[in-house]
Amino acid sequence: MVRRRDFLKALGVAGSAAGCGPIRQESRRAEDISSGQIVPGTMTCRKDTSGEDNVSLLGFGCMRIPLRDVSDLREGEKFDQESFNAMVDFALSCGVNYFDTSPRYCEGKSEEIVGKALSRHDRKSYYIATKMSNMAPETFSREESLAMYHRSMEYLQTDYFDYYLVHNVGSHENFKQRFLDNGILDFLVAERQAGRIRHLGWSFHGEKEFFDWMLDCGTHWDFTQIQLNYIDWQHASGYNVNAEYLYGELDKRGIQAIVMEPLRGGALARGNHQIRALFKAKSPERSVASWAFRFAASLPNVLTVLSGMTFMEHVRDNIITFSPLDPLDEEEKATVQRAVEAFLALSTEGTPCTGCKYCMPCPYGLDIPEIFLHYNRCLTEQTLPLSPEDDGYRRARRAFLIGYDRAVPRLRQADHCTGCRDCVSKCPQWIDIPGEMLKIDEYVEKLRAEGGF
Amino acid sequence: MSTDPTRRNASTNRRRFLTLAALGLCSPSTIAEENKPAEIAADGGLAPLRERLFPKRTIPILPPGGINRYTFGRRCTACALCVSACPNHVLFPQNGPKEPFQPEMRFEHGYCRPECVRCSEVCPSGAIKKMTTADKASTQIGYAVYVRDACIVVTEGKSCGNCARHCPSSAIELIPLSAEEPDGLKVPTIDTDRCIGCGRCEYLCPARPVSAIYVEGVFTQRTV
Repeated sequence: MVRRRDFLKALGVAGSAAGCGPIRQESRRAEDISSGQIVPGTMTCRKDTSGEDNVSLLGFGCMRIPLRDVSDLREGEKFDQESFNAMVDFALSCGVNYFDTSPRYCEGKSEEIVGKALSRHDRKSYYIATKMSNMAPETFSREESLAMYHRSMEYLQTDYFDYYLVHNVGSHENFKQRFLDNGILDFLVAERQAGRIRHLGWSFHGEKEFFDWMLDCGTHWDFTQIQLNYIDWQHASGYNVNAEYLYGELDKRGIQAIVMEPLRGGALARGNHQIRALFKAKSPERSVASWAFRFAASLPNVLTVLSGMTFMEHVRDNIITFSPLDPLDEEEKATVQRAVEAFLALSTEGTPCTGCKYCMPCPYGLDIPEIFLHYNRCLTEQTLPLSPEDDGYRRARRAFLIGYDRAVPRLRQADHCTGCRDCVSKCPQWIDIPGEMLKIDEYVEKLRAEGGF
Repeated sequence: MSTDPTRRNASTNRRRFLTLAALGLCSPSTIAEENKPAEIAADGGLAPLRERLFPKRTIPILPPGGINRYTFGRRCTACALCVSACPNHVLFPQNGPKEPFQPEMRFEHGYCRPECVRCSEVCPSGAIKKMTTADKASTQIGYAVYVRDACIVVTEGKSCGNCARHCPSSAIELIPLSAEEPDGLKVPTIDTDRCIGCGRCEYLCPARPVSAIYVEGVFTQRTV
């Protein structure tokens, strides 16, 4: 007698021969997920609006490429090409075919590393997305921008881009200065006509009015990249715009959305003990991160959901989530809603830092993302020592301070912030970084003042 | 990493500066020259930490409760218990010819916390007299000195005020850099009578390689 799992496997293989199909509605059995069995060819894919591309619903984000161990540092090789190659090979073999990079990621090394990894495969077997970056003002001139464009081709070892983005725009002044005044947008549109850019889009972090204006500005956008996750859906922080609105506007106009930050910089992969319990009670075999991916991917107008994967374990877990995707049912949506409430209840003081490092380098040597990461992690885990009267205060205080010193060297900690505000305009989350640094510094100082460790 | 060009610059700068200092050529203009901001690649990585030149103090700073170099010099047995017990890593054995291995204070790794009296608790010979945290917080062991030509407000035209923000005895006040622009950039001014010489400003000053604020020891410690 054929076992159910074997039967499904056979089905999967047959499916792979026929290419990726539309979203499969049938749910997988729990044991298939928990066994970590990946059935080749079952990755859920979506057609782009032109109907030419069959894009995997899981996109490989290349902003968080693994680092070499310090003991293994060879001259100039900070990033771990070997591990990255292995992850890319594995992802491709499981049907992931969308790779998102930019000239800015990983200290400017991302494109080169991605190019090396991907060039070992048939160019037709994957889609490349890269961007015209918008961080350093010295790259805003026409010459520098064109050089950036051609360098991307060289590094990625290709003569065309499948997806090309105008990177990180959010306000009129910046957009005008960066892409209109120097004629770069016209250049990109011409490149699309010439076929060297197959899809032209943009990534958004900024003002609502600007978002609306961009969609109706006359340039035809093939897609738009937005920050979307179950927190930002209705509770975007600071100046961010609720993803529900962004997605709705795109949907109305028939522009496909590419989702970035589905885990909100990893915060939704960890959750906290309460949130983990909530999700695990519902389905013990699924990872906490998978809920966030399923939330984003269940929306039909999403072309792909990007995940910046640093470790092979992330790749594996995500592929399991998407092979094939089980869209959230009504009951599961209610569970996510409860998680949202749990998050909101505890993270009122948390900083919505996603670790993108656009603020870096700080001229005074601070490690801004690591400082936020340590503080936020303790905050969401509710291990922040608050009052000396609390049970376990001494232990929590010690753990926090030692953890802080281990995460961030003393000379890079929050107390060294000079408040120069160079970073503020670079943050796509519009965080008042110096203000937050001061708050964390005051908190840490209060703890330290209570005696040695 | 040794291949990092900014690091290389920092260390050659340092060597040049030391040579200049040795030749007695260290004028305010050379300080401003040396303190030019390092060029950092805008690549999202960490900025290199530039080396800091530690100030040559006319009077070394003694641990609080050490009173003055005569009393301290007679009583201290150079056992270094205070050096190893200091939780803030500010005490170091000095290697001068007069009082070998007796402790002196430096602010490379932290500052002398007003609420900490660990050294006075461990001192077996009474060289660091026993004191309460209240005594300690009001004992002046040195006073801050501002080096305008090294300050990033002056050299880089950026707002800072990190010293004033962190001063535990509110001895640093910010005043306008230029009298014509009362709302413009601000630079610190030090109320020497309130300053206890804890070194927090020196530790946190961002100016490199010459710190724009440093602590000079007092001849005899006193209560402020």
